[in-house]
Amino acid sequence: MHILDLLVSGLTLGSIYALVALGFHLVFKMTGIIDFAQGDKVVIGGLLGLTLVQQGLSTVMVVLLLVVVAGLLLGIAYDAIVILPTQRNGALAAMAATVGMTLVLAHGHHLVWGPDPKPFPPVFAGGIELGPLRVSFQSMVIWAVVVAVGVGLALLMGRSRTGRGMVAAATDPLAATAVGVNVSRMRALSFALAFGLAALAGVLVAPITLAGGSIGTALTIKGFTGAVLGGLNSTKGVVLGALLLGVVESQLAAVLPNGNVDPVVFVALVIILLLMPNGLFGLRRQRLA
Amino acid sequence: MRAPMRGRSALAVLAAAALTATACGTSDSNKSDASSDGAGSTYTIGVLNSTTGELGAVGQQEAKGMDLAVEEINAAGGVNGHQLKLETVDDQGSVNLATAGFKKLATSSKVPIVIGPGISATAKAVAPLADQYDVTQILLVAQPEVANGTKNVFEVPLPGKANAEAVVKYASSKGIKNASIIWANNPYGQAGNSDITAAAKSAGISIVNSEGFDPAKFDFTAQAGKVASANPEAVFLWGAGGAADALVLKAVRASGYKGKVIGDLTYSTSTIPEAAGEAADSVVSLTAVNYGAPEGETKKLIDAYKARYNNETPTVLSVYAYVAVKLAAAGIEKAGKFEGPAISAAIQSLNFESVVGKMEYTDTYRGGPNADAFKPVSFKNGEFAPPAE
Amino acid sequence: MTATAQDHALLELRGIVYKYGAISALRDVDLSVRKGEAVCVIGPNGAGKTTLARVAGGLYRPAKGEVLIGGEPLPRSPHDVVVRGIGSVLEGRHLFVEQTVTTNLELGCYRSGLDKATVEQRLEKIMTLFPVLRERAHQRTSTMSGGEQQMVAIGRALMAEPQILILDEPSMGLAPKITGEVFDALASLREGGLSILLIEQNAPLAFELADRGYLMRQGAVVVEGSIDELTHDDVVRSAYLGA
Repeated sequence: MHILDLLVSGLTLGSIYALVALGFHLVFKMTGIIDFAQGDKVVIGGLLGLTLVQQGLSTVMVVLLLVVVAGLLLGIAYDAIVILPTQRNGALAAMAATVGMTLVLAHGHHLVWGPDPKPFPPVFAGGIELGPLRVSFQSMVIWAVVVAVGVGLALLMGRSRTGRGMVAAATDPLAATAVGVNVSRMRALSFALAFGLAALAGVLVAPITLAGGSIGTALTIKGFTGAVLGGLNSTKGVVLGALLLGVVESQLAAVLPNGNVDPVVFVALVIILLLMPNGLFGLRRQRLA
Repeated sequence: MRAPMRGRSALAVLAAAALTATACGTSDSNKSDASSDGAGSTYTIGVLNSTTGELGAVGQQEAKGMDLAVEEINAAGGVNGHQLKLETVDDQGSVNLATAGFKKLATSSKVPIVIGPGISATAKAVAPLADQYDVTQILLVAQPEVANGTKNVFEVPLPGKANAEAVVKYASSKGIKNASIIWANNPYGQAGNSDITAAAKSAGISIVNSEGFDPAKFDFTAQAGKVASANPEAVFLWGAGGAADALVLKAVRASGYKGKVIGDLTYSTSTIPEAAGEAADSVVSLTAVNYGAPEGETKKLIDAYKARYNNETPTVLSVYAYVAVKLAAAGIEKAGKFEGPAISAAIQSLNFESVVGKMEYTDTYRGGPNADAFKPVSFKNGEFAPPAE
Repeated sequence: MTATAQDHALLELRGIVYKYGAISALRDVDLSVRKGEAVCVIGPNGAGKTTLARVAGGLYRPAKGEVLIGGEPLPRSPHDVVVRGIGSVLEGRHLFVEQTVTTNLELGCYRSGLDKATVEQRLEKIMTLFPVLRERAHQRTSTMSGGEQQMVAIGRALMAEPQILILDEPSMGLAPKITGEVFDALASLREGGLSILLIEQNAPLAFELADRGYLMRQGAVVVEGSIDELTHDDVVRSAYLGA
């Protein structure tokens, strides 16, 4: 029974990682940039949500909606302030800028909201009991959102005209321009979506991780690990990779001393990537660069 | 090979950033406007602490306690007719910045007394400098060994070891014979684990298992589950002073564990009930401030703090910092002059009585009060309360 | 250049100067392509041919001078140029490598807002022009041969049904047989009335397709004229026709 309990908490943990991993995936696939501020954006989302709740907003959907809208706008600003100025210097410059942003966002929200993590009321209280196994609604909502966002992203990028244009802009900006894709707008849209997703994730996970504090870096590292493990290029891959990471981490924590879990996970990641450079579920045939 | 290369170099960038993150910027520099002794001029006390960065919360809590103490002292006429002022250097929890900050305070601001840091690593780094620069230093860390053997360094916090002894003593008084430990996997928690293990051994309590937890995480189902399946009579919790503490407590109760949960002083933070919910009502924390049944000076301090800070209860760290300023003021007053060695000698001879106990320093012992100074505290409906039984 | 040539020019470059920092890649270049005409630009490496192709295709903005299509200046934004009937086939093919042949082609008419049936019709035309693409329709372009990739690149530019196709070194890296197939297709497009601006190092190949040509050196046009004139020009003969 204990293993099942751990599986449930591992899936929730993995789903939290997956929400971050999907952000990494979205930005990478649509702009070619790895955005390391992803975890900190999630924290900002949680804090925005908390502020709305403290202002007396109690309707969950309204809070979520407002936070997502704020996230989209922040994403556009993020693109204009952080990414746009690096564009002449390539993806590496943009990535370096995002690493800088992890510090700006982390210290910034400490300044605005204070450094301590703040309790966040459960967005969806209660749960269901299956015999001795208890699954909270909060967990189930997070699972469902991961699936919905994953499917939505896959459809957006694979099927929709805009999504294809975004992927084209990331793959080859010059060629995309030649066929009429507005590359800058696509990039702004990508970062808007990524921040919006992160903000949504922030409100959903805050009841579990608390809002604010110093959790951003951990989310970034674990989300990125999950994404790379599964294959940064594949929507299905990043979700499965992150879920696997969460489940394995939970199960390992039950048998290993706590301090050994992360090292074991990271060593395993290195071995897996040496054997399967595109991740466990990544696209096999791609030959970039 | 593209994906792993990206991954590895990216992680390297991240790691490098984490290292440099702590290496930028100090804040504040209100130049000391009086190192002279003329009556009426201001006495500037140096403060060295992390008010930003990962451990920024520590310094911010401590700053509030210090500000309150300074305001009280100044309102009552200051020290020997001098108003007090604090000059704060933010070390961001970094050893390098702390060392540089201490030297700045000692040489450029020329303060004879420094309060802080409140983090072990930075405290260890700067403690030797106090004797080198003849500056009195009051550390806000709970490890007497850092201050012992120096001429000018003192500590206010009750030693971590004494906290462990108090936890075990409380358990013994409730007839506990076996227990598990869940401890934060950082230097503070590691020390707590070994101190509790040692104290339990001499008290005849057997430790059935001992689990570390990573304070940077938020899911502790596995650790709690392991403890619950061993089903000891008590679970000792040793926190990190962060959000994870409450989440660990919550996970222990969520695992179905019904026995006693006894925590170190990190479990007497007013945010514990907010994050741990009902589980908070069943933890007993051994702490330096009698939050559960405050009276006398303690009640006065808590009321003044709440009035000053938007009805917030002072954390133990705030209270330590408050006491440190009061201790510094008493030392300066007794010394009769504003000079490091004289203040140090005065502080050592004071036997200063405070809300967290009596500061009995000797030539060899420079730590805070002992195990008897700890009080058991719990929560009821989210508010501090004496333990239920 | 005569006044009549200008009147009937479909694409016209006037006094183009383009700089990479302090280095001038194009120095006062004039060039025109009339409707239905195939024009080639030959020249050695580093003559500025690719820069010229990108300026003509509206992808690079010149420091001085103007590019006119149908007598009107190009739109300010490079991504709007395709709407004005200019199709660019870039040097090195620049395919969307992770995508299939069909997706690459469909992206060619990204801006035309066509219904599915029309897109299908256009796909069909490309598949007829390059029959090998039909078999490869659902293959990722990164896995294809250079010749096939070049066909996709041309097909992608044709999907928007441009008035003029600008090709930059379409023969580069291709085996002679494949080059022949690609140029046969270009010839048939030209027969169908499509205007072509062909940037090509292989002069004999270019001369087979083109009506007129320009020889560039160090960012400037040094010789221009009909193919007949060019084949009799001493400079061109000695440098490009091995005579």
